[in-house]
Amino acid sequence: MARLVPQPETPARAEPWARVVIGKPGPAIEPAPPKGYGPGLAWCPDTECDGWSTAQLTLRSASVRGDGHRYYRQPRQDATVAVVHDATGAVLFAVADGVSAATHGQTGASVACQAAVHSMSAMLDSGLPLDVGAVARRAARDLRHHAASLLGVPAVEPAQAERLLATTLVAGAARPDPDGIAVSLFRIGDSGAWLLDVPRGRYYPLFGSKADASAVIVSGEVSPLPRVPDPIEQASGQLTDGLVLLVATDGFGDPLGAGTGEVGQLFARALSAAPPPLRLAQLLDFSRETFDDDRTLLGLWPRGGGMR
Amino acid sequence: MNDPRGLLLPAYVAVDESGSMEPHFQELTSGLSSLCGTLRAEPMIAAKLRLAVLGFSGDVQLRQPLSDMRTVEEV
Repeated sequence: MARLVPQPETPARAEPWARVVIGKPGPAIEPAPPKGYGPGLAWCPDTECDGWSTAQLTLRSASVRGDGHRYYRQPRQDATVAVVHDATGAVLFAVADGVSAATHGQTGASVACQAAVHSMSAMLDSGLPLDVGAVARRAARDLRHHAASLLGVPAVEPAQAERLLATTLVAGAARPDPDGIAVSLFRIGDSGAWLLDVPRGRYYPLFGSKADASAVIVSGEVSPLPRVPDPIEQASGQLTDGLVLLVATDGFGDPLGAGTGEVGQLFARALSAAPPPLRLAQLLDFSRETFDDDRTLLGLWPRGGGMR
Repeated sequence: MNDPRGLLLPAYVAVDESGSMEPHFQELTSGLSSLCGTLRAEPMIAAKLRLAVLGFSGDVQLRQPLSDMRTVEEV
């Protein structure tokens, strides 16, 4: 006669893919599918991530749809592109945040990232130094051309392109040189970039912030592409051991603030070494009440091997 | 923003409480109540919005301080 053998109790396990909560969570929602996909428009999955290494650099990136867009059936309006320029070993990167007021901001972000990376790659192919003004103008031109294509007309006024495809852009290159990794980047709009000092757990912004520490009212107004400001905000420096270059949209930059709070501490620990891409995406999708914008974060970690 | 804990949208409703509006007070109350109900049904907006109600006539009275409408039973 068979006997029932008591099974040992399964130890309770934490759900490994549970959403990370920082402070008070936002409303729990089930994401709704985006509306409005059509010809000429960028297809934007809810979440994407990427990760790879060259001999000198490790890249991780993730982009997640904000809860506001998930709830109201809007697509993720952030985009990111990163490629290697094989001849120089440079990593070329771009991060963009389509402006909510634009009809197809998600497509604008995608077009701007691709245009910027293509333009930088062509400059390196020609042995030319990066000309950020030319990169920005190429992105603006491609946005105008894409807007004309969407409208089925030969050309559009800049204001028409802005109403359809306005977007922020941060783009640049990280190039191996005898002193380490030379980083140069520029931005248009309010997306940002930081150097994370891993041993100190501190963030050093490479561009000005939206507001000073004492600001009570913070403006969300941006001056986006296809407008090209003169001068363009630029930053450059050396990426050395113990530093991580972070490039992100304001969906990450706003909750990060100066990096001294819970969000900053969590990411300083998590990014002390390059995390698996899926883990980065999970972390970036943290829930924190009122922070419901799309978030995109791209990180570059210098690798060892005599590159210092 | 050293350690931002939230991104809030303050909104102020200014209500004309002068005598000429008295015939409309019921509609006004009903409208405010409807506004609050609509906000509660929109969780993403309700989490961010802080609503205040000011009544003005000879002077200004604060009828409802800036409040999270998810926690306010009645305006």
